Amino acid sequence: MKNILEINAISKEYNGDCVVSNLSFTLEKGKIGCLLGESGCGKTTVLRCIAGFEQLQAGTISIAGNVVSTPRKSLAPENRKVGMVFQDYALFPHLTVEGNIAFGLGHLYGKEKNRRIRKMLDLVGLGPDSGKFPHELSGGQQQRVALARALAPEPELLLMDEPFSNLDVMLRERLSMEVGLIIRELGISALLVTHNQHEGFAMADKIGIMHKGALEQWDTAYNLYHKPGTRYVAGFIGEGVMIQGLVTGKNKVQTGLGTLTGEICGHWPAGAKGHILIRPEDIIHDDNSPCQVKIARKHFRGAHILYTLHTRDREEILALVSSHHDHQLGQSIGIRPELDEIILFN
Amino acid sequence: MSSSVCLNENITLSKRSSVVTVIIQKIFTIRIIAIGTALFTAIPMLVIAASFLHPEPAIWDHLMDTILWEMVSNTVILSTGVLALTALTGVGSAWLTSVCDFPGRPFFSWALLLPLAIPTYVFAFVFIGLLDFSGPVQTFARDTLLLGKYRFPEIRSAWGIILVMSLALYPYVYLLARNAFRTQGTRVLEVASVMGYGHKKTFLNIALPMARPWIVSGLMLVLMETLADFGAVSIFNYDTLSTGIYKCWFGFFSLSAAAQLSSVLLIVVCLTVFAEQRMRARIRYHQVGRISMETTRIQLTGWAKWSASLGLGIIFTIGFLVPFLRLCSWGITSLQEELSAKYIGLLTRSILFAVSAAVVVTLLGLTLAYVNRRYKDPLTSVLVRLSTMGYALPGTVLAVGIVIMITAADRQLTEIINYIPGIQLNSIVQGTIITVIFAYTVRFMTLGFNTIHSAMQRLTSSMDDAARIQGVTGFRLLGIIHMPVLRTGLLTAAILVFVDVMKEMPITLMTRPFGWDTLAVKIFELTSEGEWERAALPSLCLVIAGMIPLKLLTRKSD
Repeated sequence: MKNILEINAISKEYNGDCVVSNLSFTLEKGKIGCLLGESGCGKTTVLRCIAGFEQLQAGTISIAGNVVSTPRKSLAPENRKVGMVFQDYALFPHLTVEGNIAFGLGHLYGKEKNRRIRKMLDLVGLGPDSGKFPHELSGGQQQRVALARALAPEPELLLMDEPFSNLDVMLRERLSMEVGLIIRELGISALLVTHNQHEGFAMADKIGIMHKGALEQWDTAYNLYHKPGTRYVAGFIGEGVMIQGLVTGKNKVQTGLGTLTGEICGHWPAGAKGHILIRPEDIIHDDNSPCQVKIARKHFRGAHILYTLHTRDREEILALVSSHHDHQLGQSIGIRPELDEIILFN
Repeated sequence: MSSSVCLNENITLSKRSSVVTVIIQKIFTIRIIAIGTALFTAIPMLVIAASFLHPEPAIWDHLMDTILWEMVSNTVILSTGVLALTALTGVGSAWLTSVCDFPGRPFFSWALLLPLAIPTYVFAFVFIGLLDFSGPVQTFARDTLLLGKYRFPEIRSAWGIILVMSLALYPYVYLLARNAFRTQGTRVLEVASVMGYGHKKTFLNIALPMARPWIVSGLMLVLMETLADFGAVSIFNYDTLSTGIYKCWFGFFSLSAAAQLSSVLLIVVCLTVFAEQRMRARIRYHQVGRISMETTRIQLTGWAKWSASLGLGIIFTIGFLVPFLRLCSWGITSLQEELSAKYIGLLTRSILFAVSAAVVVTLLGLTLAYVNRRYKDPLTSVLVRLSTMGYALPGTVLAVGIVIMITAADRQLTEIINYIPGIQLNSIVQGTIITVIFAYTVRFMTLGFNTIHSAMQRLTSSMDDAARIQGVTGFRLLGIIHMPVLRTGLLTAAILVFVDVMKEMPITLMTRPFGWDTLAVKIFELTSEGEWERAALPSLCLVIAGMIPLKLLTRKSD
């Protein structure tokens, strides 16, 4: 079986409000997927539908080739062979770390059970703390216990609902890398739900951008950044601006920054007007360039400075420039746009 | 109960099932228990309220000619005096222990709560015993200090009962005001000092206005207790509305007159509850910080330091130490003659009542807490609010309402049953232990529910999901997750109800089966005959029992 998860045109509504509409994607076995979106976009509902906590109004969900959810029938969550890590961790406060991990191992006894618990404790690096209660652990440790508890019954698919949102920023990045490694080490598949794109980039092979209950694009991180399918995705992932342009010929677009040359994605005949996505790193600082722009704002970022620039046509663009080029506000500098691919939107 | 636990079992209703089926399924869940509890709490109140809407002129004329105005003015004087005195002592001591520092502060911080362990009626007879003409204080003044020519102020008077009730009740204000000053006091203090405010100005202009919702809320609790008090005022022979209800019933044998009087008290209580609820809502709005750590306290120096210790020392001494020691000394002298088999009977019945009420309240409270967790609709919140209204009802009012309700129900029931040949009954429920347990349940449901409800906050819905996804549902989920997590809360609820029932006086007095005396009833009988010394032993039992909830309370707040 190639795909661990197949979501086919699912819809879900609460009291007439459409929370998820006609959403489809597939996740290959052994891969990590991520649903990314602002809060309230319906991503957690999708996850709860996959887990079996919510019923569908339309569509089907298959896990490892078996249809588990249709609007008419729904396999109970415990029979879906999925594990889940909850946003608030949902650790059982009266059980120790070991007790929490052993919770889903009711079918095992003696040596095998102990071996499995040991393995999980080692995997998440909590061996010395196995006798502690959840309230005695730090946030990061609690998160690991939640992960270990979900992984202990060896699920085929691990679901994670905003697993790092309760942690501070430094810990969040480190832990998302670590968790990604652990999942790959076990060779299982996982689906992550988050509003933080850095977590998605750190862990996932495939990322879906959700907006108002619909999936805008299901793609790799590279494509989401460099070949966004919709204006929403272009605005949601990374930084950048839209400037107006006129297609003048094959791979040529006339803009306020001069004529851009690069492969135009999609079908855009000559004479068509559109908006071009310009990322900050597409703008090269070049004093000899005829295109002069004025510095409106600057934001020091260590290795680079992010300049906000105004063109003569009062269009705003962003440029990421090495921080050795430290210019003053109001000063004019020369720039040269350099795009391999030109992304055009209506 | 399993249907309430697993959030998803009921959702699989297919769209085709008819509307009727859905309605039936919605009602026949554990919500039916909540509906029952709400009805049984509401009916006694409605019975009382109804009697207000149907006034009986003959009764009112008689009441007005005799005791009504005295009772009303006494109630007003008592309430005003107690509110003023508890506000002063409660807020003052709370400010000192939560914001200032002085010798003995950590001790006073918890010791000032100790008067909560002593029922008001115990306070009342201890102080009468001490300060009466034949008591040790006046005897000492006459015989040793030779002050016989001066008149000692009469203890059985308005000021006496106000003083005694204030000593018993100020901890409510203290507790809430302390909570207010602790959550915002120190931070405010820092801001105020940055702006150049002195301590006095900070207290009067900033801390006090900010703490107002807490303080008023505490004062409303004091007012409820004052209006509901039965034991202390009857020991002082100070007739209020509460004792008036009892006298109407057991003196004039007029249950309808008692109901008419109850309706007056009910209206006052409703207004108090309304004020209290509004303050609670504002507390939620005002609550800004968590309890701040011991960072900046005002270090009292010189005379201020010692007068703080002395002042709180005096409150503690007369509010707890003196009555407690007096009870002990009386208890020891009367131990020999009093400790007889009769006491075993009193204690057994007290415990029997308290245990049955604790079990019933805990089980119903648990069910209600589950209903509240499972259903989020307006009907449920109305049911829960109705079911938990009883705490505000004065025991005398509640007893009258319940007895009227049960008498009426009993008449219907016996008529039906007496159709069966060979059976001839006069009553079924009335005058049995069921009546008194029923009344306790209505009165103490709030206490049980609130305790269990707050324990249930630890059981998040994602915990249910986490268990479910690993195959643990239904009764197994209850057994291995819910009950262990709720265990402490359930036990706490049961203990709190147990202790309150032990101390309860008017409901027991008015609804108990004939001859079923408890410790509290015995205290009432002994004190109405002026037998202070003999009342000490049962009182000591209640005071020691009363320390248990205090222990639980201080553990929670630390």
